[in-house]
Amino acid sequence: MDMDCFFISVSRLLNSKLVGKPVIVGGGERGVVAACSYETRKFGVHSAMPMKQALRLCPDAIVIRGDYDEYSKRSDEVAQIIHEAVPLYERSSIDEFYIDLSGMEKFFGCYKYATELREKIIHETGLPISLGMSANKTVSKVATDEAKPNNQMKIDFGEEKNFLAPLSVRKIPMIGEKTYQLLRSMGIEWVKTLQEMPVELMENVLGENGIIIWRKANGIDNSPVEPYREQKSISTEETFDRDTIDVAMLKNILIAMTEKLCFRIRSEHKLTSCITVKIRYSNFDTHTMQCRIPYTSHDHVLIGHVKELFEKLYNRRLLIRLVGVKFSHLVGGLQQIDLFDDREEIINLYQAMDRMRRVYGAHAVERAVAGNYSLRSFNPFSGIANEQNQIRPKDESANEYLLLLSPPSTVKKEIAEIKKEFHEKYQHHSAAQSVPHITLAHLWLNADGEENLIRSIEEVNRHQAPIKLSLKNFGCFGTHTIYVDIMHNSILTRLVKSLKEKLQLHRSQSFFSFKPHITIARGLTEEKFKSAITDFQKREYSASFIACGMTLLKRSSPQDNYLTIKEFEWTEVSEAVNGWQ
Amino acid sequence: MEITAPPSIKPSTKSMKFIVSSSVLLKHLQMIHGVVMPNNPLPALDNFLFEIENGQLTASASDLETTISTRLPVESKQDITVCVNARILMDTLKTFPEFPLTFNIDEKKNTCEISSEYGKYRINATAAEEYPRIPEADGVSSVQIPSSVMLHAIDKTLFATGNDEMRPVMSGVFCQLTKKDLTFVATDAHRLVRYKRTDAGSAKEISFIVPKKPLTLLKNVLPDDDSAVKIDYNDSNAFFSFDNISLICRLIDGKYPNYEQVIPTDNPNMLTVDRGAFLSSVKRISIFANKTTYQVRLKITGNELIVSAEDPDFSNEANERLSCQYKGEDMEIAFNARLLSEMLDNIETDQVELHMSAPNRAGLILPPKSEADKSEDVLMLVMPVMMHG
Repeated sequence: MDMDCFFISVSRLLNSKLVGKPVIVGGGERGVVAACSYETRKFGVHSAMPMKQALRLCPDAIVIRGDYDEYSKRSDEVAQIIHEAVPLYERSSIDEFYIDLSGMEKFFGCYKYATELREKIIHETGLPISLGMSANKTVSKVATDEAKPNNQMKIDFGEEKNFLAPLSVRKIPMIGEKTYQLLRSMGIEWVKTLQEMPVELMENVLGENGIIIWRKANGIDNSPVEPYREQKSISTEETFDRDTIDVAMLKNILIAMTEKLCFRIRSEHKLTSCITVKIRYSNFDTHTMQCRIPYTSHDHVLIGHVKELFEKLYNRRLLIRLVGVKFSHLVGGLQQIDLFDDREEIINLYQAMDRMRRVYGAHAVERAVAGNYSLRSFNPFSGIANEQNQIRPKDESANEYLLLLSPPSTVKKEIAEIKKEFHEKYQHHSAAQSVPHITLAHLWLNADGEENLIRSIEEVNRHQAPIKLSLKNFGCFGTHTIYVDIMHNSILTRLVKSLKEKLQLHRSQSFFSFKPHITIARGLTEEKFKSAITDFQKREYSASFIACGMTLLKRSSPQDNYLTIKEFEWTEVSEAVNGWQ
Repeated sequence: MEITAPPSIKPSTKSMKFIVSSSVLLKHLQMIHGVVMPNNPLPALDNFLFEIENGQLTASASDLETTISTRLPVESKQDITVCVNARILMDTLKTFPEFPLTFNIDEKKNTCEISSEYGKYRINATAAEEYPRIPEADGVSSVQIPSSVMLHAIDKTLFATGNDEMRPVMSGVFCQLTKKDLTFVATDAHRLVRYKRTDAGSAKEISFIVPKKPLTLLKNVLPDDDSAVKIDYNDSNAFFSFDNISLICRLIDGKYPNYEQVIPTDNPNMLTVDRGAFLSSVKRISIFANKTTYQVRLKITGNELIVSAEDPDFSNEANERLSCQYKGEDMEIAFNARLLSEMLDNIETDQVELHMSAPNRAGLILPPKSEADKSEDVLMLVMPVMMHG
């Protein structure tokens, strides 16, 4: 079973405006297409294509940042339905499932059962899913691709070869662009030709893989359906906005990455014993190097190894485009304390830092060298800035600016009431303190940047009509923040986006909110969060108001209070008010 | 096994010979055979070195680092030195019942012919000159300690040595002798054992680090009695001699970590529990722990000890309750079950005490004072794994 353009379907579920329009999910300018809707495929757009090229082919496409959390949540929902229905299934990717129905025919009739399962998934999740049924995994996959979009197909036993014969060889899993070119140059275009070829010839041309491809082409595939396996590695990498040769900076970025991964493996109670460092030069040559170490999750040990690997690896005077770190051979376990190396202070330090990170976010404390290069202020998929990035005055002389929408006093009062109640119930002091607001941007600028900032905001807000916003129920970020959810509003998103583009600030200096919300409480401990979220998930709240402008606030140090320095009003009268969903 | 000798072999006039009982020879060679490594850098080391002088055969085996020799009487008219392939000789001897064997060595042909009641076996004999020279005891100091003391000290510490190539000193046992006592220490940085005896010592204060391999060999051959073991040593080598055996090993060069400093002295929380019950509980629970890290959790509340483990990857989990005596605040601490069970295995008393202070500080495993041997002081230390938050 395979979900049809899964990312797009989920995005459409969240935002019905995207239905029927060409949509691309992907990263920024230098990113690639992560998923694209059927509407864009007509123009030749396909996944893994560079974003620039995709937009050239289909300039009308709506580009959205993916929300990976949401995707995995939806995928889990589908997996859950499948899990309840079948004895054995394999989740081979976020949107693909192999189901083994051996032995079920006696009681249910496999195809009927699978059809019902597919209908159940569509009915319960609202996501389109395609189904291909056959005797093995390869043929099922091809059948599913053929059945798409949102359809199903059954290949009877013994018919596999005939089914595959008229298809292009490109359809066979494993045959990518390169192999396809090679086969075409040999005059093979259809699977039928491949089927008729002697297997030895394929082996000569493609080695071991040749045999596997030939077997697949003939519909022979004995690989079993394997239940979902545990994650065995964790990695991060960063492509630079501009290629660099600054070794000191590269090292610091690697340190920041290592620190981040270390915290993650510690949070998941894992230890690693294999580190890989990856660099990609500006000419796209990619080199990796790894080393085995005793099981550990200590930053200082791993950072040492990462630096050492990088030094060994980086031996060409070439600009670097990307660096990455991977920890593999993960096992579940806690750090064994060393009698001689791990002084008590170090252990206490790690524990204290991790506690801070759990409460205030992963970036709450970091090494000074790493702090200069905060990685991905945005979750690349959700577009939600991690709250923790806000605690980050980089430059001592920088002023802090907050751009926000202020709800009318009636709404403010209601939410302040909820915040007060929260404080009383969960003893979370800060909840009652701040005034309810919707953060749009949080910036750190020197005084001379202020003028430009105000001008940019003015330009963005020119000809803007008031926007109607609807508040609905509650949501949460991680396990630290609970907020009042605001229904997606594309005008607001567009405003923030154009402001971001206009300001062109480095991400260490800026944070733009693409997920507007009104915070109830933040910086919660896991315990408080757990008890609070159960209440708030059940709780209902709705309100709507017309926002008439943005407010810019400023403070010169984190101890000060924010002062309003300018209000930007939306005066234009147009369809905007009616234009909300 | 019956082998008929090829008729072509004829005794040479230049031959030298000696006669020895098969089982006596086997018994002695078994004591030294452990040194011979399967893949030797030097082919000569695949052999036993036989040196016969005045009717005494000294058989030696070596891996360059460690050389062990044993002496036994044989019937011989000449003095002979020869090298014989260790593996072939051992394999053959194992199949023989007790009977005399005659070794005929032909120096010209470089062969050694063994005659038994069953037949004759000829193997290649290398000239003794090719065998590496065994270091002589020179510039040494000497000390004597009872064999049983030495045996127990090795037995109690050897298991705790490390394998980390980066920390060579920890791959051996640190031996320290003072006027009052003898101390053996072993650690792999995750656990530590300190074995002290007050009934042995040396007039002069000495200390050295002996590698694991010679100690393993000694452990197998030392008699458990009061006979004395003579230890001679200089900066680079130690020489152990007792009965008919002498063992020479290279010492590990380096500074042993300051182990006294890492043994915590202030441990307010003290648990006393039945050793057997605790050990089998830890072993059983660890079956349910992760197969690489073997981490188990001890939770002590009042007079109850809860041992638990889980492996979320396979949804395995287990817990057991044990009754215990406990003085101190309730606490939770996690250990590697293998380290813990090895330590509990190496204590002989019925009860065992676990002294602790905090979840991220060392735990001490001690035999209770009332049960322990007065002249013996065993301290085992195990580092916990880091609990989060």
